[in-house]
Amino acid sequence: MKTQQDTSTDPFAFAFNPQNIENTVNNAKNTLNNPLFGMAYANFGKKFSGIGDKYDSLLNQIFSSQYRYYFDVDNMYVVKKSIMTIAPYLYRGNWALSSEFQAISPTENVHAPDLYLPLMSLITFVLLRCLNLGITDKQEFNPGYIVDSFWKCLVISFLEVIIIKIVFCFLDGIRVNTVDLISHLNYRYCSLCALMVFNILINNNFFSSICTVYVLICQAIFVYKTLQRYSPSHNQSALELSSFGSNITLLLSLLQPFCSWILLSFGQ
Amino acid sequence: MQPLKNPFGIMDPNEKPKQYQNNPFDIQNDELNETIKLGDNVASQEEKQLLFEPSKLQSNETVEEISLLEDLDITSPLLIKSRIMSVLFFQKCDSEYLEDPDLSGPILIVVSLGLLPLLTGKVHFNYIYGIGLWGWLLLYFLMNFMIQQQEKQIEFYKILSYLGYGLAPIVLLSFLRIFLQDSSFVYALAIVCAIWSTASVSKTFDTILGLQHRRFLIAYPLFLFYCTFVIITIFS
Repeated sequence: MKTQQDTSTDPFAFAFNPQNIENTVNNAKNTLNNPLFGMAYANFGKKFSGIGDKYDSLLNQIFSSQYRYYFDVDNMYVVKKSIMTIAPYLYRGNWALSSEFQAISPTENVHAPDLYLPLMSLITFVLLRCLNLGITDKQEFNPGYIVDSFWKCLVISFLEVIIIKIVFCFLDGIRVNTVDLISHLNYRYCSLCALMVFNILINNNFFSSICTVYVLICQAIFVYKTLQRYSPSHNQSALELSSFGSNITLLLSLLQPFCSWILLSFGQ
Repeated sequence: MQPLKNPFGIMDPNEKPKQYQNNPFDIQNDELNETIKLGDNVASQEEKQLLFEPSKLQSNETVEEISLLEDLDITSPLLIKSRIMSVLFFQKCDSEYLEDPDLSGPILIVVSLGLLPLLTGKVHFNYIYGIGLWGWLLLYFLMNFMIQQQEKQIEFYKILSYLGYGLAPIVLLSFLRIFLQDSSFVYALAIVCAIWSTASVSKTFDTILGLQHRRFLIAYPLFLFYCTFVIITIFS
């Protein structure tokens, strides 16, 4: 009887060789007994235990940051802002805030930007489109349509924000907070939701077209009046730049109905 | 050759068994040559008798037999049933539901929501799980941003649990959809189920968050969340 395994054919000979086992065990004992390794393992343990605390503090930082003002809304603000998107000509005068770089709660000023209404109106718009498709042509509907619509809306909004941000970057002296810009340019979904509800209730192409044109004009007016607060009017002489600034703002405000028209036409 | 010894010792029929001679619970200290017998430190005579005759204890008190699941504190099936009933019928749920909600009920509800359309040949697991997860994340951030003014915070798993239990009416709708064809009754039932889910879950959130003046602002995103599942159930 062989006392040792036949190492020539055994693939695991390196593991079962008694000499190798002794070396492995000795190495393990050396590392465990070495106080330096013990300190290293203790530090690893502290790092892992600290990750949970860091995660909690990171979340606390995010939720207590300035971004919370974008969600500090109440019922009256939501109603007034919705009316403003559908009928902006009712709110005359300057739509500027007291300070463009200080966070203002929407409950204090109806012209302050928020993210609640754009987000809710975006999701409502996507669901209304799905509802419209489900009612008109059920065979075409599948749950992937919800995801597709959502991504199309996000991509078009993202491109619009990028274009306007680039234009503002080329114009000297205009600083626009990106989150504010996202907020201002996505109130369009509120008026688009109203349009979708109108289309679902009144299934008539003529009235639907008139309503679409009205909504697109209202969106252009809304964006024009909102972006006026960022137009360059104080760098050089007032006469020169005031017209230049208003021209740029007018051009940029026409981008919004164009993007909305793309959404309505090529979405389905 | 030595005779074989009886391994149990010499058997004397008159001999009492050893256990009655010396109590095994007696403590013997050989160094001090003393024995502390069982019952020496007991104060009252009644308790001393109980030490030697434990059957008396059982005869005075009735022992209630608890089921193994209750004994192990595993009450999941009953807990899930009671919580689903509280969501469906707007009943008061157990106090633990608000402080320490479970995830077993929501998992059961979501899996059944995915399995029921299989009976009509539709496979929507990926959309249900995907939309559920994204909706849960968005609602988590939205709720926590909205309640930050009150310096409160709500955890991930609590929102997931409440949203999951709120899907119970939609599971009912999914079940009924197997038997009903497209009609205005189905659409009306769908709206009722969405409002039913929203009302029950927003009641839970109102209790926890205490945002009375923003009740509709909290309820509306929940309504949109449940409408997504209703649309998937009705139109696919």
